[in-house]
Amino acid sequence: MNSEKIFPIFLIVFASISLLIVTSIVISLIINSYPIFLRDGFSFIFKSVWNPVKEDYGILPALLGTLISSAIAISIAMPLAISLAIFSAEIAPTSIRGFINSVSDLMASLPSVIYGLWGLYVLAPILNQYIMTPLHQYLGFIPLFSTKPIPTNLFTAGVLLAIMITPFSSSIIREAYNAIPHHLKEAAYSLGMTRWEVIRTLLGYIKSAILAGAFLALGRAMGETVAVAMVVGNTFTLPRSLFDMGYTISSLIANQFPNAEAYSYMMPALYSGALVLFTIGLIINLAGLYWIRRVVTRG
Amino acid sequence: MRTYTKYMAVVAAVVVALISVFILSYFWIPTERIGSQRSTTTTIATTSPTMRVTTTLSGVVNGAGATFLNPQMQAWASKFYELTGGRIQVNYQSIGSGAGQAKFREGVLDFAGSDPPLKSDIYNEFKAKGGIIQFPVIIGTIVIVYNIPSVESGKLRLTGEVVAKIYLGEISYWDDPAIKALNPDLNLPHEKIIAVHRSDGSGTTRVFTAYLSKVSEAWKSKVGSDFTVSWPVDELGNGVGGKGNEGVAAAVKQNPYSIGYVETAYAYSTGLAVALIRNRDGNYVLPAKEAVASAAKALVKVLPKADEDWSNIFPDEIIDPPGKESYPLTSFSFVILRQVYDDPVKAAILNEFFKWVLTEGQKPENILEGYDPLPPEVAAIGLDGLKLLRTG
Amino acid sequence: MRLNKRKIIDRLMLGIISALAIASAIPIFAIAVNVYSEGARYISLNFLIDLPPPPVGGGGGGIGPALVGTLVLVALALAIGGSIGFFTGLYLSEFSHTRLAQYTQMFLQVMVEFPTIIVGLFAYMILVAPLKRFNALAGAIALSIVIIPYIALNVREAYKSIPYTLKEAAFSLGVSAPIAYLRILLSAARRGVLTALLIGLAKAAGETAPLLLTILGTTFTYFGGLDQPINAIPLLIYNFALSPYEKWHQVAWGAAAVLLTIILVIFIVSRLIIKEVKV
Repeated sequence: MNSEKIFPIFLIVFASISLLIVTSIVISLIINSYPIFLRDGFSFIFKSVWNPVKEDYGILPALLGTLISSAIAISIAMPLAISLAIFSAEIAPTSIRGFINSVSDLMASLPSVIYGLWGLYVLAPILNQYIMTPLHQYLGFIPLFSTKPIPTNLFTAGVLLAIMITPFSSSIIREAYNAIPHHLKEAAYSLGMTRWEVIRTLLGYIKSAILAGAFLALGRAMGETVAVAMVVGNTFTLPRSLFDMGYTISSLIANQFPNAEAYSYMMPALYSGALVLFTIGLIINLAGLYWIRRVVTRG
Repeated sequence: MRTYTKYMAVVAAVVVALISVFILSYFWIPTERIGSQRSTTTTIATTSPTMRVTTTLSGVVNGAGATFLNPQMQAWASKFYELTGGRIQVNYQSIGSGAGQAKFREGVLDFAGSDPPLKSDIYNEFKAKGGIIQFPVIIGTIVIVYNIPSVESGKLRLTGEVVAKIYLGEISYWDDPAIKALNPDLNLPHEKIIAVHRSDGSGTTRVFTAYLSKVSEAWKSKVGSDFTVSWPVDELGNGVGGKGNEGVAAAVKQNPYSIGYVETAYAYSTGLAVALIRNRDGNYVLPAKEAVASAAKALVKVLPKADEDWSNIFPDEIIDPPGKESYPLTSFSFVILRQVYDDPVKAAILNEFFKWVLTEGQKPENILEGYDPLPPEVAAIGLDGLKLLRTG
Repeated sequence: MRLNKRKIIDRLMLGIISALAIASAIPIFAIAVNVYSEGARYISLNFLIDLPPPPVGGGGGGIGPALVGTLVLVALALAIGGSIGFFTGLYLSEFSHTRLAQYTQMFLQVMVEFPTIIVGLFAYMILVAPLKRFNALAGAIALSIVIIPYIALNVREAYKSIPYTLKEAAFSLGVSAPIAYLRILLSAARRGVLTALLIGLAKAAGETAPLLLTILGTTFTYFGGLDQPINAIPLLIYNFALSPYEKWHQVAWGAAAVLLTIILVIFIVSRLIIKEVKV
């Protein structure tokens, strides 16, 4: 009888530890970024400058770069992740399913620097030759494709990110799909649905897993540092098209932190970048919650 | 109970699997030796006349800092480990000069490696607590690399002012009159120059921009010199930022008609074309051994002592030295120690190791490609400074 | 007529799904093949045990200290992060209506977004600076913090996917709560939980940034104690791969191949043992 009461408390302790860790990190972000807020107010979030000589910092290009590259990454990754999950769960022969799943999840362990090197030496030239240059040549009048592409740019970063984040969302969707009770599948088939229609219905059943997968993937995309830093072009200018070079907040932090302590305001500027990242994440999550309440609970 | 036996089974299976993988890989897969050398690790390299180190000390010291210094430091540490029969272990990690100095100040490192010498505020802080010892341990050079399909390596001539103008955005095309004037016999195309620079804060950028500041007033006032600077070419759309020397080298290789700056070792390992730079005396030079030695010798007179504050002479006083053969983009890398250590063994180890570094370590067989040894007069600065090590 | 149209759409969509799946698998397999073709040739018993070589010259060389370090750090990180993550995930699933659960879930989802360097800086602040020494424990803690959100969110989904009928049945048996959740329902959710732990394991084994300012990275020490610096494979790869020396490149690729092999073996073996749940 005692364990009945203790167990929930036991769980609460662990959950609180998790919450405590996140909160502590956020507090340390606030404390460490305080100096630059004190000096510049919020203006530095909307400035575009990185001049350590004059200790003048503004992270707007990095902010935009994060949003653009993550948007590219998610829009490519989600269809791929869902397809991979369904393919493994429904279409692939049973014997190789374990292998596909293992190799896919395996890629989550590959150190970021190897992704970066592969992206720099293999992916960037391929994208440049077969996708970016043709798009720019023929559709260059559309603002999205208007910059003459250099292999390392936001687009390459977005695609590389998509490749990196697919395993995370794919695994969580796949597990949820496999856990769907068989009698639901059988019921759907007995109604005369085609395979695709059954899949579509079941996907609706695991909407929350798909959303969870999307958040995991998005988070990973926004937080990736080294791999992005190696392929994003790293010019501190405001991006006007998909093929522009740019920065992301995470890659800016990765690039600058080794020597940041040699300055008075750079560390605070980097910490404030992380704080902005946290805030964006919070906003997206809250928006997602609102959307869930409206869409998911209805059906 | 069933679940526990299952877990044991998992563990056992994993162990068995790993062991079988090791055995398999040892016997079945044809293995290549790293570096394709079959020498055993117990012999001291027979070709090296480096003397065996006679010391009975034993222990570990931990240092960190400049990335540039890392490969050479690892080479030294490995050699020293061998020579002391595995008793003295020197660990070094590249976390950046700024981080190295900061962690050194916080007391978590026994020594720091840094491209620029200790900042003056940290220097003063330590002065009150017993003082520091800082000295150059190695010389490094930077090369200008380029990717012009019609121009081979070692054929392009550039001056500091022209390079500054390129990175300022004032010279945008390869066939600009200024470049043509320096290279009358080259066929320079009418193509836009893509100027590649570092995206991460680095000592290489600091030295490079110090050089540009010295030779160009416009650069000095508009941009300045630092680990990272605000590159004018970025705003014009002609700049590319590469992460690390690797990134810059890759960017230059991938983008025709580009120019960049890297540590010398990277230019040779990636096969990039290297430019001739005009030195103060008017000669066009590459960073050959003699050019670098000449540069270093010219500097000996201006260098302070190991326990003094170097922050105001570096790198501006050191870059672009005089001398007929001197290579302009030459600079030092530093090691920073405290004068006072609680642990006498640590102090003794640091003394032995860095004494070796400044003497035997400067011999040609112990210097890696891409680095250059200190002239004995410069090494003497460190040797003198080490005498200040004490326990307290 | 209508049947034909649905059949066409069916074939079409299945084709598209398969194409997309294969498209997503291609880069994944391509990178894996690339790593193996570059690195597998250097794997040998010596490679796994020896000290790292100097950039040029010297004898063979290996990744001994880094391998030992990774094993130690990952085991610790999985123990700490895995347990915190598992129980947090369980709480998030079964008590999802409470405010604590809602806040925690949201914050954990945002936590995934943090550049892992920040986590490393945080671990430095709380564990390295006070101790005045870089140490392995700080690295393990940093890794734990990184993997907690992944494990928690995956475990949450795993438990949420258990059909309500099963849950009702479990509780109607009259067993205590711990036994219900940890024996019966865990058995039902075991594949999902396993995936959660494996993803956590993979992440912990491959992360570089949290280790930079916590463990320092040793060249010669295999394991000096939890309060001393230690090395790890991702750190070694990071240093060696970005250097200009061919020998170090070879070691980096070999190390990557070793890492992938170990992880892959653990994955395949554990998936074979923990059987799928057919509901």
